[in-house]
Amino acid sequence: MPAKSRTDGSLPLKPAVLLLLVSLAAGEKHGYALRKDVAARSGGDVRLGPATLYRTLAQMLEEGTIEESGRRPAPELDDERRRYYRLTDRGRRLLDAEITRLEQLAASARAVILQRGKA
Amino acid sequence: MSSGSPRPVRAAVAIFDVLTSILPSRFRHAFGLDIRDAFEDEAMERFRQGGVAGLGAATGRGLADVLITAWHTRLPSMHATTRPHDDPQRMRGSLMYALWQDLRYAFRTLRKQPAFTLVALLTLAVGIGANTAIFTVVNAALLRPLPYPHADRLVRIWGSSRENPSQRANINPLDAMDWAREAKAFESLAVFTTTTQPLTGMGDPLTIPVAFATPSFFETLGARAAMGTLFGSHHGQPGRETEIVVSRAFWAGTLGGDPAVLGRSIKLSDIACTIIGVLPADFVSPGISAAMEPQAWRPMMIAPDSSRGGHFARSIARLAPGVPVATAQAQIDAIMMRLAKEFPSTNLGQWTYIEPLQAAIAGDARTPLLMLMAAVGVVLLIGCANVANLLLARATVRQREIAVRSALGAGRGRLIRQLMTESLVLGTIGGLLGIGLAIAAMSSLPVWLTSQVPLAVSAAIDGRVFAFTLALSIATAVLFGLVPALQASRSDIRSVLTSSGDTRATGSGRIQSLLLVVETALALVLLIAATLLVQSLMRLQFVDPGFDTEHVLTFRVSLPRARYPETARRNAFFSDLTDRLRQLPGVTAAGGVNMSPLTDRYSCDSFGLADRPAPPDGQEPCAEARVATREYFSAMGIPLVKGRLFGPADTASATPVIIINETMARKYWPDGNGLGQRFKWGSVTSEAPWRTIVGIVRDVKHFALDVDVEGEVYVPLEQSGPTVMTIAVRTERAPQTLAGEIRGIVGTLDASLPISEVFTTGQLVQRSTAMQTFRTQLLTAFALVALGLAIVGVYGVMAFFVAQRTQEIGIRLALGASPTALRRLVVLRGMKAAVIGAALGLLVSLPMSRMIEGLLFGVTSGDRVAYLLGPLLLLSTALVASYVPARRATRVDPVQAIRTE
Repeated sequence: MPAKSRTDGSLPLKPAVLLLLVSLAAGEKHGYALRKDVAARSGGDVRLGPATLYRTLAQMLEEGTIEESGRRPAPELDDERRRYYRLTDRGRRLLDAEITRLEQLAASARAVILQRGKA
Repeated sequence: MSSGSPRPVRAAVAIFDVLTSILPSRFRHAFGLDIRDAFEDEAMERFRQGGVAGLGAATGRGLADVLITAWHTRLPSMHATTRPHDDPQRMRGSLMYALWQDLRYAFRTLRKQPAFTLVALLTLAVGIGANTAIFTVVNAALLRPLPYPHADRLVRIWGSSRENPSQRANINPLDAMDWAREAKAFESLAVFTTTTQPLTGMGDPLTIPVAFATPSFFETLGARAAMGTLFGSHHGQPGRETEIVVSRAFWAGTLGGDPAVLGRSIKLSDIACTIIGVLPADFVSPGISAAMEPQAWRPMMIAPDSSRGGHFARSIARLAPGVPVATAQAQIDAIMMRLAKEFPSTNLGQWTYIEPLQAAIAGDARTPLLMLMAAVGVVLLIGCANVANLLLARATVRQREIAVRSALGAGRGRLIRQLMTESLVLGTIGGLLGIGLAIAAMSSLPVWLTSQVPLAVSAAIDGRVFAFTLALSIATAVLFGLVPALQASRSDIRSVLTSSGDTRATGSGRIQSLLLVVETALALVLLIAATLLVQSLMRLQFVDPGFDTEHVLTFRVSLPRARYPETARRNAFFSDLTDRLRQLPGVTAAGGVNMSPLTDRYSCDSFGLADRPAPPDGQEPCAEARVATREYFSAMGIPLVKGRLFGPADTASATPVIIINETMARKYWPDGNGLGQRFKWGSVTSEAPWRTIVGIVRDVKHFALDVDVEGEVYVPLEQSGPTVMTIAVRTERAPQTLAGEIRGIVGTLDASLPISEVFTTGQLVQRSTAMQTFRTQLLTAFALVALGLAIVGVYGVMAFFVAQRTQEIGIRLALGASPTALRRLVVLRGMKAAVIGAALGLLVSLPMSRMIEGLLFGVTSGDRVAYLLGPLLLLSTALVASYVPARRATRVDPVQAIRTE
């Protein structure tokens, strides 16, 4: 499979990781905003506990799919303790690969169902 | 942010902070504050939305999240411990590693002292096992939700009276139909009755439990069919009476698991019934004992013109969502008031009592179960005290080791953690062994349990029981381990290391004595409770049931109405049967009654008397109505007190007669002239014939040995026409040996007729006291275990006391002290604790035993015998337990003792 070679066997992604990547693809965020966004995007299905959230982020930092952002919003809008995260190139490639994989899976699944429907 | 948060949120964050300290320090340094903030945000939000409950849930989730994260992040360091060369720096610092080290050390020390470990584990295993076993039953009967969807909305509606509104009796189906129609508090309401019916046409005839239920029954419970369908609303219509639903057990057993069972026909009471559905395996009928669990369910038809006078059915209902029991009760009360006006002759004084179904099912089993739970709890507490004493003793011996470790830099917290780890290991292994013991005990559920405790059949070690045992094991470990750990870790390094090896502890002696006081007090409480129950049971066994319990065998025959429609045929069958039974060798009499004593069948029917003014409509007195054959009284050994028994002249066409019992005679004719009086069923104006009282017989304990006898009226068989009779056969042989011959005789009269409930009268009495017997035996066993543990405790502490003072005693003896004085010193020390404990136990027992007053018969909770016997037993055994070590003390060879230096 071509997708596999591109991403060193890290696919499929865990739902939480996929959602975090998607959320960061939409723009950099701090941890708390990420949590809210993930919950909203999953329709409330994925609720990351505080410790789990940061453990996952720590892992992703270590794997190099995300990094801390140097850019900060205007000081008056910001709680300075908060750290912002953004996607790395590696993270973006991983997300692309996962989306491609999911699309292929969905397409082949739909084909099977359509064929059975006709028969 | 935190300063602005409400107090509950701040408290939650503080708890959360404490727990996050278990996260690895590297991770905590990097993300600790972020995690805390995220939690605080979440907590605030939940608190605003859901108040304290919402906050609690959020905190629980947060803590679980930290635990899971700790597990994931700590995992590598756990692996590291098996490969120490990987990263020693990281590994040593981790909490997991320290824990691992503590565990290994704990196992090693425990293994090094097999005697101590064995005694401690055995004590804990028995204590925790007994608690688990009893809790399993408590869980099934009282705690676990009933096996129905939204079971908290199910209620039982009992019949009661205006005088005694919380009575639990049966109801009238027509009344119930009015409740179902008018009371809006109910989503659905059903009526059912249970009986037994002969099943024929499938090999040997057999009697099976059968229930009749209104169409809404299964819907009310929320039951679904495993196969086919259950009753629908059309089952209330005529023409559907023969469609039946069968239990899964009946389908799998009697019907051989027939896959094509739907539509198959079986004969119940000689009526062909068609099976339309099979219930699922986990279906349990509400409030029916396991032995009577219906095998088949038939639709119950309620004729609109039937009488409202008969109270023979049971009613269950499902409350509409959110409706409290009180609302439903108020609605039914209003209906009952209207009915009392509308039908005064049947409904005046009638009332109902609504109870949550779970409580209704648990019923009388509740108090004894809670008593046994408390008793095993006490046994475990005493066990804890013993193990704590053992640990204290051991800690004294280990003082040197502990002092050395603290000299090498171990802090007090570290030492306590090490000692507590040992306790937790003991507690956990003890708990596991205990679960094993409980599983073994529950694998063969005692018969009394399944027949006396509702839902006990389904008692199993589930998640809740497991959690209970786990929590119990940990609590136990803390209970017995904490004080010794605190005590041991306090030791003063210098004094221990410089001392000559005299390992006497200073403070621990007092703690040991205190523990002895507590355990003897607890043991005494159990001893007194057990003595009270044993006395009750003994008195119960001396109660004369009023019939012969030695030479009589009884069995039940039910004639299907379809095949025996006429009274004359049925009566002919019964007299033919008793005639033939009488001809069996060794049989001296055979007679029958429609409701035999101690079988839970009774019927109080109203009556009128000719010699006094008629009471107002609906307020007639009632008497227990029986139908008996001529020889019933002589077969059962019920003596005639006055007048005559039934004779051949008492035929259907002769003057109607009755025999009454002594209670009835005393109640209505205290002057003793009941004979010859005239009596009639129903009111004096009813169309029933006047009956003349021709005899008075001795009272029989009909309901139970500890329940008062009611007025009883016997009508001769020939002047009545029951379909069911319990036949009593009096024999000079061993009664059980008759069963085969009886079956043969019934078979020759009617090959498709089963007999059931074959018991000797002795067995009837035993069965009726089964619950009392077993709870007494169980409590006595627990009390004896408690006494044994307390005595072992006394012995252990005194033996240790002596062993520690070998040297001192040797010196005293060498200096001329008298052995007697030394013995007295030791014995007094042991007895002091026991006497204080006994005094404390007496004080606690007074209020405690009042709680089991309802279980006592013939003794009061303050009975003097129990309060004398208990302490006597306790103190005399404690005396022996402290004398043995005392004697050993004076056998010390002074020279040897001083040389042990």
